[in-house]
Amino acid sequence: MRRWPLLLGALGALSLIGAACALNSSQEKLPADWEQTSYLERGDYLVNHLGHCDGCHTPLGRDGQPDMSHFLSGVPAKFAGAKAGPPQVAGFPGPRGARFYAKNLTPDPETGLGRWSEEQFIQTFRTGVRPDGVKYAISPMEWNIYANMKKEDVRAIYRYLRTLKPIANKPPEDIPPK
Amino acid sequence: MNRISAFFTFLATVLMIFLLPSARAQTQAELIARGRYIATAIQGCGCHTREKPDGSKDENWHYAGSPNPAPPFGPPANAGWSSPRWKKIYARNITPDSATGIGKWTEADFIRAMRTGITPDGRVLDTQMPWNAFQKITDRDLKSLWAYLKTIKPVRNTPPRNIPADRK
Repeated sequence: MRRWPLLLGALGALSLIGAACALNSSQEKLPADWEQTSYLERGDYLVNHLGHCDGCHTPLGRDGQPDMSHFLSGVPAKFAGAKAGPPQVAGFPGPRGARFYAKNLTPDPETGLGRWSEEQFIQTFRTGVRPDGVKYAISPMEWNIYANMKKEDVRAIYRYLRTLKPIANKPPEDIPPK
Repeated sequence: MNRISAFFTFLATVLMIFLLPSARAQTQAELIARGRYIATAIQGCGCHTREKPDGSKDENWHYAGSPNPAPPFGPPANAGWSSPRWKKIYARNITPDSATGIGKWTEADFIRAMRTGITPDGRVLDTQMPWNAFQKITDRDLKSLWAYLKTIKPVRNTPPRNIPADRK
């Protein structure tokens, strides 16, 4: 007789677990190998730590450190034409006279990724072809590597980037290889 | 009574193990696979592989650092970066070559370098190697990256010494 409360308790606990799982899957299922508990947390981790997008996409301040007031807004427009300096100023030199400038990843609609849909962003990572049709065979943005990224990880990056402060900055135009 | 609670404790433990994959010990193969995914899909560590004249990565020198001698101009993976501390700073050899790479490092050495910038021989890495951003990479991901790095081909190459910035 005295077993009943225990059994009921155990059943109750099991159904709670079941309910928690059901609730979880009714939202969006997170990949099992993530150590992060949401898309935004995963995106933050990929952008700011594992992927370190900052290293190229945030301009440098006077002290040579990333200027966080221009976080991920790309090479400042004012540096167009600069021949010398770090990649955050003079861009990355490429083959046959090419020069590539880190783009504005903030959600600014005119100069950043503000008008990109999640699907367009994912497609760009899959194929290396931007929504405007531009594709470089070679660029400092290693599309051949990022093409291997799981969709959920790309989605997490997109969703995190949407939370950034929009900054208006149109980086200098890339110079394609001759 | 005691037997029953022991049974449920056991059941709960088994359930926990199945429900929380992170609580399971990672096998070496799982670590390597996770590290490979990071290195070939997310953080390509591309700075450590020099470029060919067409701008593609020279896979014969995968992760072997800057050429020596380095060219005066060109992509930073070949010609070096600059930073407030260094006029020229060159990517190092992160292959498991024991003489010129990180073959003699331990996992603990690697994790310390990735979190503090301090190498086993006491150098403090410039933040051009962004250890300050890498500090928050999880233990599991760092261990995975290390496990993967141990599996790549050792390449013999000692990149040039860094050139200090001009004193002002």
